[in-house]
Amino acid sequence: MSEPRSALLITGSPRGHKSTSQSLGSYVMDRLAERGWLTDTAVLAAKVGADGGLDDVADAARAANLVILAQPLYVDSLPAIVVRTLEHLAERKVGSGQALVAIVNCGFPEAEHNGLALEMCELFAREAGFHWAGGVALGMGEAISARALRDAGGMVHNVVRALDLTAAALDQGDDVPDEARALIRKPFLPAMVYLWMGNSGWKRQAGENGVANRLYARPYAD
Amino acid sequence: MGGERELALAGAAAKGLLAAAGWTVEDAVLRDLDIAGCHGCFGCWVRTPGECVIDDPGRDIARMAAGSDLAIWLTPVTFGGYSSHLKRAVDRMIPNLLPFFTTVEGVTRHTLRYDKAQRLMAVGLLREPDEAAERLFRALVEHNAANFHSPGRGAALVRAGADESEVAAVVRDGLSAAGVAL
Repeated sequence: MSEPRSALLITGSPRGHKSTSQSLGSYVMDRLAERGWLTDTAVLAAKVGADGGLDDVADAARAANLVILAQPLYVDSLPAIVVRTLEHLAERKVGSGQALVAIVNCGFPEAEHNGLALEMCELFAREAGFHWAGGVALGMGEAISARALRDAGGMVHNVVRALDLTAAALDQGDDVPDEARALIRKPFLPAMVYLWMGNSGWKRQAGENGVANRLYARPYAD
Repeated sequence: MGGERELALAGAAAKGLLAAAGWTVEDAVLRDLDIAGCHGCFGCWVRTPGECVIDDPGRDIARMAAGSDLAIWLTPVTFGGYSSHLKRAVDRMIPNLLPFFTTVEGVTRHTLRYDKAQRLMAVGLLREPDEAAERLFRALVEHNAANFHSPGRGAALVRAGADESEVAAVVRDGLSAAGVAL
């Protein structure tokens, strides 16, 4: 009987466990676990800066058959804690041909913002010795708001379907299928609705914090 | 700055060119600063508007950026992007934007908090020839410039081993691309 395969989820959101990145990544991990994979998760918010934290991530990545890197988009690219981690892993060449998959989400309505971040993950895979198995990216990530996908309702049905296809393909040893990449990019709300909700939400949150009248503050003005 | 000789040369070249053109230049060596990573809490928008909730040198970098006419970023090209030192500082610049959405160059972006936007010139050190990394670096600078509503942008790629005159020429071209009159 062959040994079970292992998958490592690296959650790159600075928000840690309570993040949309974790929701998306853990959904895929659960599907793999159902197929008999051993799964593990490294939450970078707890690892970067901790003694030996990055070495732990490197050891886990080295041991896994599949690494899934899930992160939000920060200023058009990967969050700093992800870059720091990838620098560490690439310096140690932790890849030995195992598959690397990236999941990127952004708060803008357009999924296309994530394209550069996915390409960076691909270059990392090349440098560190992984097989780049592809990536999926979605916009409107704030609408998921760190909820488990099963609790996020019908609006995420394309996201769920895309990640189901992704998990099935990875289980078969294949790369992320084109259909999954296309499905997950589809907006799950009309852009105008999402933007209205976003703009209203900022005002509501500022009001709850007692700073509604300071939203436009310019503390660094001359 | 990333610390490499070529980036130090690039910084010196930029300072020299700008000083000769009458600019005042402030600089910061990011590897020497203890800047925490952005927490992604959006407190800089909805709790302490315009200022990060983390009280560390990241605030000083954001303040310097807001008050300047031109930002110059120096970094080793890392997976086609910026090193983690620079990226930590860039992630901490979002207090200089407002949370509200607008459209810039055809896609959604955040609106500016201040009336003034900065020109952006980024110098990337390529340790070895890498077309994909170079293309990605240039694209990232374009996207960042749109993000921060920069009126001019330039990306300059310096190869490892470049001498002083070669670096100076690349920096001059980058500044010109960003619309800086020298």
